[in-house]
Amino acid sequence: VSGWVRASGVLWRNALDGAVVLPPDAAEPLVLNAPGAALWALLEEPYELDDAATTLATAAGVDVNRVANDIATLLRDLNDAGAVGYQP
Amino acid sequence: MTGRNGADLLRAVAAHGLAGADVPLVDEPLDDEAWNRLLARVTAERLQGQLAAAVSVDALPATHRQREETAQTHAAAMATCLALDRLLCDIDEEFEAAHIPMRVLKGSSFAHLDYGDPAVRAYGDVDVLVPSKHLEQAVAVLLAAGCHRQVPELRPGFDRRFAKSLTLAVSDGYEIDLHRTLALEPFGLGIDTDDLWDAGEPFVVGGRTLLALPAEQRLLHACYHAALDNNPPRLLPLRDVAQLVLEGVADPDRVLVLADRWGGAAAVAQAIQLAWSTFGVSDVVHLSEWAKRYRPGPKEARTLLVHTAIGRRHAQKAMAALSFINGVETKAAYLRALLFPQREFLRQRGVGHGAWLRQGTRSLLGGRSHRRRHA
Repeated sequence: VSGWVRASGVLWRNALDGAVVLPPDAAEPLVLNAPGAALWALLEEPYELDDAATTLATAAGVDVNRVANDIATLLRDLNDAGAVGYQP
Repeated sequence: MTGRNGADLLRAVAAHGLAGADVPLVDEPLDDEAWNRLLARVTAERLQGQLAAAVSVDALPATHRQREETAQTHAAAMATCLALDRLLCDIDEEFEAAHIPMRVLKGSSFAHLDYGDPAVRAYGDVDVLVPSKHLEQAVAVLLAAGCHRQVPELRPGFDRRFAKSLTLAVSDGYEIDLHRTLALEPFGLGIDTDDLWDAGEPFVVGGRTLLALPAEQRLLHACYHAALDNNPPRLLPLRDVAQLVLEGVADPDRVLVLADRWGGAAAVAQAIQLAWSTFGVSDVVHLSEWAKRYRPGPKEARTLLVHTAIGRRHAQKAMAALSFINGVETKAAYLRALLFPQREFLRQRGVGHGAWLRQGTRSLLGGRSHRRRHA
């Protein structure tokens, strides 16, 4: 199954209203807010960007177009930090 | 503002989420002074996980600022835990390469195996167990990896034969407690270390499978730590005891067999009794009933007193430990190490040999006069 997924070796914990994520080679952890943590929970399994946006928008009861850009930005940040990767 | 005093409130935070506990929290947010005091004590006692859990479900009502501060404090504690988990995985990898068996103790293993969510259990160092015969090799591996030892060995070979653990510092400020057993002497010497190497219980950290002690040995370790390592006992270790007992994973009959074999039943009973009374646990389970009824024999009571009484010195504990050491030659080796530490040890402590002996003598005489006063 292809899609964005948590990187191998990433460490994380639930936080109050979010999550704390430590990518394999990072010196500092990332602190995700509630929407970020919702995406993080989803990425336990591979998700395409559009599917992730639809799933999260449906769960939050908002239009997918409102969240798609935010999710794309967050995914890019997580990827840059080494917390997620794209599984072809 | 509430009428609850700080100690009661801290106890209530520590008990949050514990089945059967009866330590009520508050009905409305604390005022700034009480909140700041609580937050400082929560941080000092590593109860950030319990606080965040209580705030998240409004069991502890919080203002917006208090909720923000809880989130920040908890996130900082979790960042430390993640860094320690990474260190743990690195150690496991190093030891695996060197063919050194390892078990994870306390913090990370309790968090992953004994609490529903590891975010509820914060910790501040790494504790691992290696077999006595691999202890020196394990130290060498960690030194080669850049760790440094804080206190030199008392005498060559002492750690492998008699010590509970030794501490190694990591360059980023974290510490590794490298154990060969679970408690200081005298109790530590009663533990049959072969029992610690029953099949370990696996848990996964960052994709790596680590091994913890089996549930029964984990519970016994929690009890030893809660009853023996701090006086007065600290809340988080007591919470661990209550958590592990009530979780019911450990077979109580096996726990009692091991406690008896290790000569540690008095410490185990004390820890469970303390946990039950501290958190007002109403649930009666096999182990809590046993702990309530347990009456230590005279030797056990003396050993427990030596270990836990405030002001007791290491020399007194060491003398009590002699009764747990089998064989004249082994007793002699133990005493020789205590009386004649190697120079490097004394230099690090900043004392000469004469001063070391005088300290030990004063400590022992102090113990005798203490006993006389209370006779």
